[in-house]
Amino acid sequence: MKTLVIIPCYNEEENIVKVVNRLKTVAPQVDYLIVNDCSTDKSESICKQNGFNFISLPINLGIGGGVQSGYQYACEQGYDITVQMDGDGQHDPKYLADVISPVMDGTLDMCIGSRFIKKEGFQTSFMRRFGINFLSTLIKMLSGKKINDVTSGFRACNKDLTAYYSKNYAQDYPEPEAIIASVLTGFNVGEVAVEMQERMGGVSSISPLKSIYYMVKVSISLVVFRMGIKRKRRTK
Amino acid sequence: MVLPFTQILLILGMMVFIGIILFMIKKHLLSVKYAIIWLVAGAVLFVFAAFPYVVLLIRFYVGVEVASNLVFMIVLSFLVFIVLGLSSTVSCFAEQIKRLTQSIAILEKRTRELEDKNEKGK
Repeated sequence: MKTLVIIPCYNEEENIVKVVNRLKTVAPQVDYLIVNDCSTDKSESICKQNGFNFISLPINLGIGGGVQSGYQYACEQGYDITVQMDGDGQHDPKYLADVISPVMDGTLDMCIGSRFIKKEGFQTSFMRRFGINFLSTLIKMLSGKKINDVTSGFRACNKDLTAYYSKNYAQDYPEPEAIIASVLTGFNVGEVAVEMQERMGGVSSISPLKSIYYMVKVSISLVVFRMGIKRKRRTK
Repeated sequence: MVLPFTQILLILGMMVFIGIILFMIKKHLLSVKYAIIWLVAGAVLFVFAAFPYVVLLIRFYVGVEVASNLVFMIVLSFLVFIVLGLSSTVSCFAEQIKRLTQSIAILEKRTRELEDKNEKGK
């Protein structure tokens, strides 16, 4: 099965080479695409020098728009499975096979790599865990589906869901919204345990001040998404 | 206690207002990013309509003579904020469109040159 790994990249000059080289050694059979979201550092020239497969967006779209262009690329090139993996080294490619396999054998339409199932590796700060738990409970209430690590950006999608995401994908802080959109549209979503690392270098895109906005925005989006939707059963 | 007719009208009005905002988000006519400030404004005005006592309380602390002036002032400041925010957003969009146009023009030149090269190669 043709598999594409989308690596969103915004100012990751310190990490991107390590991430891609590790991916190439651990999983040489998959293709990858770096989406350079108009980085202001040397990310683009590093990709060029190393001959990486990448697209460069002419303006900064944020993580949602960046990843969505990856999904569009996957649709155009006819990939069967699309995996999203952060460019900061948090996600270890050695778990790629674990995340892909439920999608490959058809048990799930989307499989999310969760750091909270086995509780191993980097577990993130208390406040962020609290926020993630809150959103997880909210999604459970709204859609009936329990997902532990709702903000995880390590996820594999099958062809149908890739096509869906290439058309509908939230723009900023998209991960929880993407889950509820797919569950309520009738896709089958699940999780597998992975271990995550603390980012290797650079800075995270979410500052403490932004996190309040994040919670408010995502909560409103989730509730509004649920309004007036009857759960559809997709026919296979 | 019977609510005065105008108050019922105000409460209903605010509920319709908030309903319209939620409906617009749902139909993708308004993104949540820009809706948050409207929802906050709606919620504040809804509280004012439902519990006028709050307005009297704030008036007492701020020292405004007439309660309705206070409401006008708050509504006006919300509007000023929103409009300023929109102006800033429009400026960002103008900048982005400019950059997109430029990069498309450069791309067009590159493809044109590649095509010419290909033609000559044949």
